Amino acid sequence: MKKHTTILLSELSGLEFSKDELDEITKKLEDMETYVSDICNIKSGNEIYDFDMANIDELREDIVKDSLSQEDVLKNAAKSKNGYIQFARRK
Amino acid sequence: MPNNLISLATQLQRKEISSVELTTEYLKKIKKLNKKTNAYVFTNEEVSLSQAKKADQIIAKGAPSVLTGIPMSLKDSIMTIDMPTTACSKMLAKYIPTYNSTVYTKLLNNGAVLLGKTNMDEFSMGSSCLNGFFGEASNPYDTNRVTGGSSGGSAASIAQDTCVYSLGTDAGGSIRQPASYCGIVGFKPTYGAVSRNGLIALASSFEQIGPMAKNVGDTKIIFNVIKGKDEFDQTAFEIPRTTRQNPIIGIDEDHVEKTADKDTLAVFEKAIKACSKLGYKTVKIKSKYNDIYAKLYYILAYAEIASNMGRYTGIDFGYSTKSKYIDTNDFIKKSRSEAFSNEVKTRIMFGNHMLTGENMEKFYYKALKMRNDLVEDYYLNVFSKCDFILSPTTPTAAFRKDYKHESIQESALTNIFALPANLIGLPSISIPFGVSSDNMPIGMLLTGKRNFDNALLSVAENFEKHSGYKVLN
Repeated sequence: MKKHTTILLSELSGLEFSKDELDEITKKLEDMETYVSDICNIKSGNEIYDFDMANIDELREDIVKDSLSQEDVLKNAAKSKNGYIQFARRK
Repeated sequence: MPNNLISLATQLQRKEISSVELTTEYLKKIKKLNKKTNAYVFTNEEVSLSQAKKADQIIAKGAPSVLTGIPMSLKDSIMTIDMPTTACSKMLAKYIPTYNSTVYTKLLNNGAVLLGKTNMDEFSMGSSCLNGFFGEASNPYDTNRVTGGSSGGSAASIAQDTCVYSLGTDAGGSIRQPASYCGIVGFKPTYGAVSRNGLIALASSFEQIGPMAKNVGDTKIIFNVIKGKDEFDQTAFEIPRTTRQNPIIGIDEDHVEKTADKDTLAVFEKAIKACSKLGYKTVKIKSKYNDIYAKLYYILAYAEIASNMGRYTGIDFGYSTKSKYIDTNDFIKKSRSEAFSNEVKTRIMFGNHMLTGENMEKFYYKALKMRNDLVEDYYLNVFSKCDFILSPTTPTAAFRKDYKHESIQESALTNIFALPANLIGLPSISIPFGVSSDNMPIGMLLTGKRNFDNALLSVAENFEKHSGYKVLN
């Protein structure tokens, strides 16, 4: 596995790594890929299960109900003001 | 003090002891023993005693359920508004839940008393309970050994009798493996039998909330309270009542012999003998896919992990970086990188790797197909011959905390017997059945067909009578 792939994956994963960490995780991912790669050689008789929405007769009704209060939603945000989450674009 | 659910419920209802007295006793015990095991990461005496007072009032009115006034613990990934819920992650260390999980609501409606939240591997990622933000948990039988994981704190809290029962979660053995290592009972119900509303998600198509207790009878009572349909979880449904007279037990001896150590094999032999004592017929079974369970888990569960962990940005909730950042993406990257452990980062990275580019077809779609092959194989080849499968829960007793698995292959073996139940959605229970040569508990695993939870629990109750296993004093 190329280190470049790990860098792209870290962008996709919203993570950043130091140079040493990158080497370490590249090796780990490579080992894991090698470990699971056996499944490519096994023949599968099945297709991916196609979730048939038409046969689901118990979907939840769309009914508007009271949900979490604005106060509850905001209480875990690092900063909030006037009912909005406050977030500086840069710092 | 009797420590099982039924005897304590009887004492409470006869008013021989009050819930406040019982809760106070348990809180004292936690203070004394938690230093040894770190089973609990949060307690709140005020909350526990207030719930106990309410329970005493219900008992006085003469309308209790069997759980009324009984002290219990919950894994720290199950949401509770009156105690923190952090999944033992720095990311959620200051998180305040805004609603209760359905299982906690059901327990509260039955007058349960929450003693505290239990230690776990961060976001349920691990099999040792060494990977949590609040420090490692220790096995009450030998503090140099792991409790197993990820629900290791729950297992230890029961094994050292600092609660009567607990709820854990199981995506790949996370209830059953620690139950086996700590000498208690751990039950993973059929997928969908218990609502996951209010559970901090790991791998949504694999995991289930389930009871952990000192015996199968207690496990059965708790399961019957928490199970059922839920308007907040579309996958939750009411499982049918099932029984099985003269059950046939399937045994894959070759697979067990290839994988388990000498001590575990000796306990397994004892369990096979218990089948004949119980008059249960045994048959040989073999799944074609024994070698790929862990591989499918690595691909599919990690892909689900990558997706589920995407919600943690540090903006609307969770850890926010204090460092300088140049834009929103940079803020998110810094917050996530500072808050997640290496284990969590590795799983997110591998999950995304399996979902990206040509790997999507090569690995992820292929694994989805293989998961269907596995279901087909179990129902056409395995469950056509037997009703329940018997195996050890784990290939060995609890390993030492300083033990490092030499390879991915070796670490994948830890949950090799437990994984099919998560891949297929089957009910599965670990029962303490014996001890190793150095006196560490060894559990046996019984796995049944989907929806046969009640029948499985009845068979497990019969097995338990033949285990001769004594819980830790």
